[in-house]
Amino acid sequence: MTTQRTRAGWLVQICGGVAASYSILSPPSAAADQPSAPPARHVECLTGNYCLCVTDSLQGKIDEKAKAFRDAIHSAHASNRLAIYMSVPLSGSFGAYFALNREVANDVADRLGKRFGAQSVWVLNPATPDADLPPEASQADYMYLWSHVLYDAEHAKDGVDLVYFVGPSDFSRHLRLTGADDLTFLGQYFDHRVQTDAAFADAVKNNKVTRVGFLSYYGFRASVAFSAGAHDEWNLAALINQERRLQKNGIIQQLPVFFDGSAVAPSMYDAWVPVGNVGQCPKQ
Amino acid sequence: MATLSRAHGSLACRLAAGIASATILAAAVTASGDPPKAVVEPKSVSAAADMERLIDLDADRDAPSDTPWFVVVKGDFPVLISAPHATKVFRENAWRFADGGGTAALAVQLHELSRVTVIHTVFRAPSDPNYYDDNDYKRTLGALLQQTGARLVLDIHGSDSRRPYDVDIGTLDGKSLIGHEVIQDDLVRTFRAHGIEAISSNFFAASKNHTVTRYCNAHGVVAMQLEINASWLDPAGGDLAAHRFAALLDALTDFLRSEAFIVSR
Repeated sequence: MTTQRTRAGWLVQICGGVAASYSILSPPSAAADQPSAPPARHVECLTGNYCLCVTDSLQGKIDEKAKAFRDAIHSAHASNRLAIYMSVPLSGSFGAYFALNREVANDVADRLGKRFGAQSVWVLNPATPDADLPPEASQADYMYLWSHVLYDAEHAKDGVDLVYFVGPSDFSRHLRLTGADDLTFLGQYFDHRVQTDAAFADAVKNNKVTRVGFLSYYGFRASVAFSAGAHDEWNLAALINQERRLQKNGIIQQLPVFFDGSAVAPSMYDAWVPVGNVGQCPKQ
Repeated sequence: MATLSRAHGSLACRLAAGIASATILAAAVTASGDPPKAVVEPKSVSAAADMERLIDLDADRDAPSDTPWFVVVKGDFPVLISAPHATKVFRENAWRFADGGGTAALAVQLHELSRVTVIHTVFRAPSDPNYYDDNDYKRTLGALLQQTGARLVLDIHGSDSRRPYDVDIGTLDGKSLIGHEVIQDDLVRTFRAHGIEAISSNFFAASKNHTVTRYCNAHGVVAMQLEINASWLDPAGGDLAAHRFAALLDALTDFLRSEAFIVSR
């Protein structure tokens, strides 16, 4: 297998055989249940150190969506609105449930609009159905999409104006946790959701989501801090800021970063975290 | 039939007439001037808080395919409480915001304390029951009016917290009281006795579109649309919010128990 793509700023490599490691990271839309031959994949790199494994057959679809989202950022700017990119954990694994995380994402996006003013900001919510890729897409494909959007927009001098990382308080607010007997309430909600959401009931029945896992995730972990994809997005923001700081008046031009409702401390603008999907494509 | 009323015994007789089977519901008769005795316990507010949170979490979800988007809790007391905007509702090709699970939680706690019949949304409603008549909620409401012999309907809504009133009472500008203005008078008096002071009349008269109040009025049943300030409808919102919800629940319970509906077999 070879890849012929060439794009300024994007190195193209060749890879394949990346089956099993992606199934656990993939969104629930991915058909991870049935083992099958892995789709052919290749490596795409933003920089020499920021590379992702992209499904060959999805390249065109991802490029098409990336253009649409870059156009949306441009439209926001053209209408004098600031663009916010929201990083939110979506994958349904280890106690998390994709549909619920999507509800949280929509809620946080709505709150961001209210907080800053819907007339003044536009929120790029990765949970939007417009971003959905075909079922065979891996999390790396999604990360390629969002990295592509953010980095290309940045280099077109049309970059986003804030990256908002969803934190535990955002989840707590949506889940109406009050700080009093939260895990008991989450248990009630788990039972309620089993009774009212057939897909969730199936996931529980098949041990894809367990009660203990659900309580542990939404009680203790629900946050970008436990998301592989969000780790890549954090490093992408750090990369963009590293580049911005090299420019004149660089520090003041850094890309603002919020986590869990508040701006991060100055030291965090130069902080890197362990990679999620980046660099995980096996070499042939 | 023995009837007692805190303030309007004769009206109680009039409204209670024809009610075949009912039970004395804690007729709190106080000496003149004494404040009413509180009846709401913290456990009622805690239960309301849990319910508010669960409904809020479902407010933007579709009902499962085999499940209605509203529920009915039947009681044996001839009053019906409706909360049609506990979740989001669809009208004029858009999803309208939810008034909040607190409206449904209030209705259900009134059932627990006064055995009224309750109908409220639990998932987002594909047809706004307070805007259209052609939906299952309204059809069920019509059936309930018949089955329960309801003499009074309270349609509970949540108003923006920035509005100046605590409660706005919508009566189609008086028409939905069907000559029983004293019921509204007593409700206002009861609210104020429980610290719910700022009462407005017919800011939202319930007269536009196919409201629950209009529907009940057309069926000859006394009805009021209670637009309750959201700051009273959040039992899960912390100590002060829980206290305000408790006061509201206590007021409506006092109203239902003592005004007009104290009936024996």
